[in-house]
Amino acid sequence: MIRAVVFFLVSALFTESKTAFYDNPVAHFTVADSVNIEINAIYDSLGVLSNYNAHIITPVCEEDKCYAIEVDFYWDQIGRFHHYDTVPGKGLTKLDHDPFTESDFIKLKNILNNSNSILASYTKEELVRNTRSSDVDGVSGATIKEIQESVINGAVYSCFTLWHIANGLAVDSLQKVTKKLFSRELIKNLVIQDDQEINYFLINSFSERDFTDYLPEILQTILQGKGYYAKNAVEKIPSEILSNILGQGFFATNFTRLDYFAQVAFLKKISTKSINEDLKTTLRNNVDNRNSYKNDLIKVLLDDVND
Amino acid sequence: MGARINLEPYPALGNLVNEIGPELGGNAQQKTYYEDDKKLKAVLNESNISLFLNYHANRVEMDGNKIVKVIAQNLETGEKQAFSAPLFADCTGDGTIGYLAGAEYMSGRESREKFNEPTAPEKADNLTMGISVQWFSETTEHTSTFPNIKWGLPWSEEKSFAITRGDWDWETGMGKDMINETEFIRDYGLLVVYSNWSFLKNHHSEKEKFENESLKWVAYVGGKRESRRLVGDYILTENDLTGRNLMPDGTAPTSWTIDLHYPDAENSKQFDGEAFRSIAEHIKIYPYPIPFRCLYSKDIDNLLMAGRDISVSHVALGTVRLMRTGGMMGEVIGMAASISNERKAIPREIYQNHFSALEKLMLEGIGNPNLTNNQDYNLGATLMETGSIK
Repeated sequence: MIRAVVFFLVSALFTESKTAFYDNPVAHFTVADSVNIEINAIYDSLGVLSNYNAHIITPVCEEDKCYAIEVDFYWDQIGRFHHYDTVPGKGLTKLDHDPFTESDFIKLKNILNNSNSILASYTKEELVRNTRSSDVDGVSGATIKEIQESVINGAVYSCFTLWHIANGLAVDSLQKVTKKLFSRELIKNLVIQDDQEINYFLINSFSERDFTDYLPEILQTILQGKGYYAKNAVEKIPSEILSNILGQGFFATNFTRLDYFAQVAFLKKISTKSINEDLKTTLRNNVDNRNSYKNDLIKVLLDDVND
Repeated sequence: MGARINLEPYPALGNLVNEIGPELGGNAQQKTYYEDDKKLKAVLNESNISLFLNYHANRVEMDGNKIVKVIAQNLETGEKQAFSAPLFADCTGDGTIGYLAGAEYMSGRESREKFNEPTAPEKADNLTMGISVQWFSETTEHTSTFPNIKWGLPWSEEKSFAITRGDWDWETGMGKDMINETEFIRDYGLLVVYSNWSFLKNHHSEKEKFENESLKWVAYVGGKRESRRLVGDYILTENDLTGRNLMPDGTAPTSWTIDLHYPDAENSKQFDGEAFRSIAEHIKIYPYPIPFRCLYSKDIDNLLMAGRDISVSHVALGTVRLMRTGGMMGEVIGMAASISNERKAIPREIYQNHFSALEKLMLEGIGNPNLTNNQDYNLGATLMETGSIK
């Protein structure tokens, strides 16, 4: 009953924005040909996507002994694995039903949170040497040396399976869902985290319409950007949008704060037909006394405008 | 080969490195790994390159602040060859051409306060990175002996290294004169390799394990890391790198960590301060585009530089000294040379009056852009921006 009420309240909030409110599960995929994992979107009190979770139940076999793992997984808004929770009464075990120790739990956390783990490049069969393939999803043999640090002894296949659920299969699906849920509130929530990976996710995902709708937020990320983010963001924003009133106002004010390469990226894209007075002044004040591509571009822009 | 190619802000830089770079990585490996023939063939196929191998440049003729001629001598015949040109590039590593021309240079380690570098020593000294004499043995079906040499250093089981390959960290000569004592340092590097091997083969408690091992290769050209650094219109330092202080005249990006080497303390103690093993200390940085002003001499009007003799502090050298980075610097100064030729401009004039032409060339790149990147090994612990444009 409460859930239904919440649903109606939340959906009422959405009548004005273009956000769809998707029924759970929002995504699902299959592991090991038979196990179906369903992922749910979790929303905050304002109905904005907060994170994703899935209740995982999957069989794993360690050296011919098979048992079920049960955990809850959580991903953030852009599909990065965030953390896991054990299920009360369903502790994690290793070979021979040896329960996980405290340090095993910590090690598992580190393994799952390492999206760059070498587990990414191995198949299940390659995890051990001298494998004996069998119908019963289980093999015996010594764990290869390169893998040892990335797994828990006695729980090699559990680590492997869980890692791939956490970091492989889920990510793309979740990102697709997030894209469908874009709204001003969600974009604001994402941008405020000042997280470069999130910012790149946005500029790589946005349609032209998204850039129009969320230009203020993207411009904000440009100021926060480190390294080549500013340059890359400017390169991604369509020229017409960059040259609109808001875009020009932003660059008129902030041009000198940008690094050289972001400045050049902007100058290459700005459409000369619509440069306003403020931007003209900024550009005039940014001509150096030494020759550079930036200078060339500014001169061309100002000359065109003067014609 | 180490570090990365094809990075922002000029992703086309490195295409030429990719064309000639070997596909396999690793120090002290079989010679087939290094594909010297590939490089030779590539150069011989260029109609605009005349190649003079085995020549040692040892004299210059000047006209004011310009080099007019470089004279080099054939190592085998002694024959002298003069090279006249309007522009020269010193990629000698030792900054030999710049030195002969009277260019200002730096060497040793600058003090902390000189450039305000946290990693620099408190007082300036000469403890540069060292020369590596690498080696490896091969396993043979037959057993082999090795002379029980009497001219080796005093050795013991405790001091010995029961291994079959000496990699980058067989490094020595730190603190010595890297220009004038090169051969002495290399000789010491050989001495310790042979002393150790003789011990392993004749005295080690597990010498049977080495019965079927036979020394296959010991470097007779020591791998030098650091000597002279010619001063340009700008000196790149640690804070530029760690602070990501991007400059408008940035060119080839240095990636890799700031990777500085020091004598191994234990080994140093065991060998009376004459260490031959080293350790590395790394500072992770994001790729940083090297300013063009670091690639030409501030004193010699027509001298470009690329490699480990560019205008950097000792600390900054820790990251620019990588082979792929050096290769990309080479691409850049090659482009600069073409502009110099076309517009009759010296390097400083390129920086002042023609830089946009160089920027355009760097954006275009040279070398074949359609090859698969086979330089994807030994990329180092460079910090990379997470996410990037797709």
